[in-house]
Amino acid sequence: MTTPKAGSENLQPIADIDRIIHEPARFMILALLYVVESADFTFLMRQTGLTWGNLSSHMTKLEEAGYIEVEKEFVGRKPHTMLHLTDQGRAAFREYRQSMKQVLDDLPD
Amino acid sequence: MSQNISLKELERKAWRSVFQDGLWDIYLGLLLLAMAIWALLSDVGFSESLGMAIFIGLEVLAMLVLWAGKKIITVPRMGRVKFGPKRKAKLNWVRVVLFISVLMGAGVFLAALAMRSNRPEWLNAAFFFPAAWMVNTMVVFSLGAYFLDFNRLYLIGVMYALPVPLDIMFRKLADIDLSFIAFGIPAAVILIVGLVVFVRFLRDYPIPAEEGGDDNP
Repeated sequence: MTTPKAGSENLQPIADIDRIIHEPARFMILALLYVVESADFTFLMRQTGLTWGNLSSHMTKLEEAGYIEVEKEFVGRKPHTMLHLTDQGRAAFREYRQSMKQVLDDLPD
Repeated sequence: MSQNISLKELERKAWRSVFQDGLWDIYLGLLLLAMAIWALLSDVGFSESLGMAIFIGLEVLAMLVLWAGKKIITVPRMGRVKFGPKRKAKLNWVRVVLFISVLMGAGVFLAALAMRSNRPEWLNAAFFFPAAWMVNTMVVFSLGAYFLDFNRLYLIGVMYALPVPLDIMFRKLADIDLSFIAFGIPAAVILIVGLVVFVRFLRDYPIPAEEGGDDNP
């Protein structure tokens, strides 16, 4: 951990931005899961406009970070996967919004 | 603040996608069409009970179309989503509105039955029943459209409000029973809108090519 140089304290909030969320595709996924209870892969694909492979790789990253959770359920006899935000993911998203707002609000015109 | 608004819009867009398939329009159009067919059967001399049985059969068929359409056509194309507590609360409001509407309808019907032999003059006025029908349907459908955030339901409400006054107007003007037309025209309008939305949905949302087996990433 390097000590911040003199004058760089003001930029610290930018450096502290959550990089997992600070990626447009992952931000879209988290924002969508933030406003609904849960959704499946197809729904997320439709709403975000991401391709299957793209969405899949971002999902893996978000799952590894503990931000989303996979829920297996049965619809009739078929297994179905629903995804939802974890409490940690919800808190991280809220914190990210707050930090971004603060950083952008503090910028001079 | 702007972030709050965009998240709200995001949720709204996700919610509105539920009605993008046009299946609710088709279902409601079929319900009204069933009434038109019932009227037609009555006109051509079918017995009351047979007409009623066919009407109930058509209503069940409409429900099956909605259920199967959602399951076989919409979900594979749009996916599945569960909404948060605010949307669930709004859905509960729709249920309350429908319940009150049914109670009021039953109340008016029972009151009319009770006063059959001694009905006051104002109740016999030609405008009373169509006016009551129009107000009830418009209020119910408008509240439904508002709580469900489903704008086409306002138009559907207007179409549902029309048949009874149209029927009475046809009788007064032409002195013939044109109930089939009075119910059939609004039903056709709803069905055409629903079918256009449905075809557009099929065109815009083909079944996505799955790379991971079922819906798993």
